[in-house]
Amino acid sequence: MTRAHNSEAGAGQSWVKEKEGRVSRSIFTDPAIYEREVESIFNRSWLFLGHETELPDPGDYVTRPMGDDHVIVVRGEDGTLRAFLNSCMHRGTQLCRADAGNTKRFTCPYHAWTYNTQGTLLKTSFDRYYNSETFSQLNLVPVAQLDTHAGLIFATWDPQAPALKTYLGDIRWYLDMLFRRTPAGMEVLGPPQRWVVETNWKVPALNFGTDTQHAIRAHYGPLAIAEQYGGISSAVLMQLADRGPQISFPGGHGCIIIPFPEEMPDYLGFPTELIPTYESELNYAQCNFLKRLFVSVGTIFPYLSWIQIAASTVPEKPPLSFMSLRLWQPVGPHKIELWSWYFAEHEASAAWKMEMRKTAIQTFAMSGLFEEDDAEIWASIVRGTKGSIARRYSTDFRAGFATQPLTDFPGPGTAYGSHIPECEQFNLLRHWNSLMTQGNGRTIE
Amino acid sequence: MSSSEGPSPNMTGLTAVTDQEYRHVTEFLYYEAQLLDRRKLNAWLELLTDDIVYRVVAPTVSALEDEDQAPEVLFMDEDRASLRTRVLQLSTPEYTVAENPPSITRRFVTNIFATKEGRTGQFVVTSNLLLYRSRGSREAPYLFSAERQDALQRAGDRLRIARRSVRLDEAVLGTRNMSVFF
Repeated sequence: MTRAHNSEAGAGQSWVKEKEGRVSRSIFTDPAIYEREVESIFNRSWLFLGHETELPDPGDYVTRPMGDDHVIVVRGEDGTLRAFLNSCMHRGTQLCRADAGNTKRFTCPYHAWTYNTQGTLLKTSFDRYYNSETFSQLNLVPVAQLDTHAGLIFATWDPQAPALKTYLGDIRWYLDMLFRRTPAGMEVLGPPQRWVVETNWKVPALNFGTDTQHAIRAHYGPLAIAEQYGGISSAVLMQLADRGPQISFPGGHGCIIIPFPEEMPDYLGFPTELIPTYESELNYAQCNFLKRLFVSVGTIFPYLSWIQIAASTVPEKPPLSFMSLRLWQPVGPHKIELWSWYFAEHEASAAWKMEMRKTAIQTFAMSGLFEEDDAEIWASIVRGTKGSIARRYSTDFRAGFATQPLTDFPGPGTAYGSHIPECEQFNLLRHWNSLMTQGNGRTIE
Repeated sequence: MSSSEGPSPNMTGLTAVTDQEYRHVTEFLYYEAQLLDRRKLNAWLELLTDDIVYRVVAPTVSALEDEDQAPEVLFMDEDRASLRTRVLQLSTPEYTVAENPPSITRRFVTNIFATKEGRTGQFVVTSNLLLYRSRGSREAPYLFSAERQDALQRAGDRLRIARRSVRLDEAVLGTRNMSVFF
């Protein structure tokens, strides 16, 4: 970076003002900070690669981003999930240029080097020119660790990263409530939507982890329409949000839960026939949350978010609760590729799954009544903070900065009695800052 | 042209349209595009049947040998009631951020093939759509390219859209939202 750029990516710099609840705007715009994030955040964290139901059969593969690299995620002929750099060990050519498929072999289009689904090099174009030792050094580069939780596939490039279970910590309790509420768990409904938004990846990660305040203005339209249709008004939504909880966890993860108002029935928006299953799969406290669940939104550090929300876009239709997972994949400091998956309980009827996806795509998707406005704002944040004067200022997280956590909350994590304080979003940034400033950006070998 | 050649040989029960019918269909599609470009969204809603099925998909990238089975990604799945909600949002200034200020759009409709379904008398029409969209004052415009397949119903001497299937020509959409109609 040139000096003229006034980069703030130097070692030992603290971008997050811990005691002041403010953050340097440069973290959303500075290319040098993004370069450092690739090493200090993405090459060290557990990153989401997909859902197990995307790869049901041996030989099924998908190609996915992982940091600023690309990997092939494949279910081997032995049934085991693995992930490898999508790069031939000969000259680095991408082995797969399709998004998904099924194969027994990966053959390079350049010189026909061929690997099996376990990443083992089987043949080159002229095997007799290699000795067996060289040959054995040329297997595909695997991720350092791969593991799943509740069907969600994660991997890390860091061999020293803690186990996935430890990395996720107590947010697993909420993930289980959402993804393990039936014996067979959740099932992906088709391949993910993908689109490009010109923003920094942390903007939507913070929005989903968890900015409820924005709904009152950014989503005024769909909420006002919902109110006309007999749904919940934004005023009632804000009262509900001001009763919380928002829950934060070590490691930068966090989520919110908005229960339905008391006069509304239990399990509103969920398929009735699955209720007994929820009650046998989940514990008492999880059931109590799910029973009243209107909205749950969360972010798993660094950039996987979920939304489970009961929504309806037409007057006569009762709300329907759907689940979507989001990946805010950075493509440089000012651009993300947004990945959006939709899920239903495997046990749900085919008709229910169709209706659920329809509601999801009408509300939280590239064309979603809510999300089309979010994306407009996310892009506008980067444009509004990029200038040489604008970036001297801070992004503010001081709402309810001194709020104390609840002492009697019936679930794990540090819970606050309202969504309005920005503690949970600041928790993500505090963790981000600790990774960005410690160890001078240790490089993974 | 009227369409003895198209749109596709695997559609059974389709017959050719007359020159006059072809002109009717073509002018209807041009009129519709003009309404959308001029943001006459409520007037556009009047062109849809009560039971319209409106879907937008995008392809996934698959190997050539898997092309026929490659899944599509659903981007819009709408009916008359949900489209009405969408129009209410997009045409009310305080209800939309995405379209306030509004996009400047220009729709180019070409390659129109029209056939007639013998049993129902509705037109089955394929067309190509290039949707130019400009946002703000500092952004490069974006182009959505798509193939549309419509079923157009006759209501007296007027046409109404009973089904629209849009297939976008990109696996990863290069713009931030889809607050437009195709």
